[in-house]
Amino acid sequence: MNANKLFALAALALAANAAQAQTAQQTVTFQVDAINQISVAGTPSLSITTAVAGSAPTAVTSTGHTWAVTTNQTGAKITASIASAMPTGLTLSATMGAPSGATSAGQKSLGTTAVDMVTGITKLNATGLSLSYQLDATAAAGVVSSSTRVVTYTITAGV
Amino acid sequence: MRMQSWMLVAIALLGATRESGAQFLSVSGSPSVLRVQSATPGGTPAPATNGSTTYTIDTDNNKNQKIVGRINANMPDGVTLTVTLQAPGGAISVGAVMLTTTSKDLVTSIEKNTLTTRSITYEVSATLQAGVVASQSRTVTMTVITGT
Repeated sequence: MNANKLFALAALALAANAAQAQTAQQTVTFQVDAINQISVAGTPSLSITTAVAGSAPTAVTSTGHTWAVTTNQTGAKITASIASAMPTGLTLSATMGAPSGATSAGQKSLGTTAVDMVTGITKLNATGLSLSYQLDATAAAGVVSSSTRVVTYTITAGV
Repeated sequence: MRMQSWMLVAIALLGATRESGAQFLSVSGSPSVLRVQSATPGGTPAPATNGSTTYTIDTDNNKNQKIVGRINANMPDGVTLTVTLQAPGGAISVGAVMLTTTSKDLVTSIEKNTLTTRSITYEVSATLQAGVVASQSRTVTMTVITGT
């Protein structure tokens, strides 16, 4: 192929490329990960101070706390536990309100083994859900000085 | 040198290309993975954004140019891909445009003799109903055409 023809072919290619360069492309890669988030609000304080004569000490409650949740999965659940056992004769319980479509287990005693609090949470976000605590004491518990327990709430992924 | 017919055709082609003022559009590459992966408790998933790529446009002698864009396949249910092209001087960016398989205006009123590089910003957002979406890709095609 002589130089003239090579030149012509190059010109053809250049012209073709110039016309095609009106378009540009990009590859956009994306994904959505499993998202499960929970938060709680409030600093409850519970003091047992009275009893009806002849009965066990009167249990006390702390209400008005809230929790919030977001999940993009099906069947997530909330569990709760405390880091160390309550003093003998004392019981700390919690109750979580359920978001739409989910089920609250009602009032649950808290221990070092996680217990289900709310189940069946599916693809939703909700805020201001109710959270309350109750402290019960037997007479045999005696006087218990002020102490604290950290309640850990965990959202377990669904599918 | 005697002018060959091949040569005459070639010269004519080159001349025609420049005289017609073919527009030119290129991009700096593809963005890194856009990953929707977090949410504030009680809130919806936070969108993923990427503004690392650019486009370069040369309208030459062509006036009233615009850039349109589309993707090669629909996004999964509940997942939205938007793109925002920064406008060249004197032109108008449409802003964040949700991309579909139908071409949509991205930048309009691009003047002739515009030669510049501007930013491209992508955003992927997802509803909770979208669930978990495995990694996948879409090809975004941008074209500069005549039109306002």
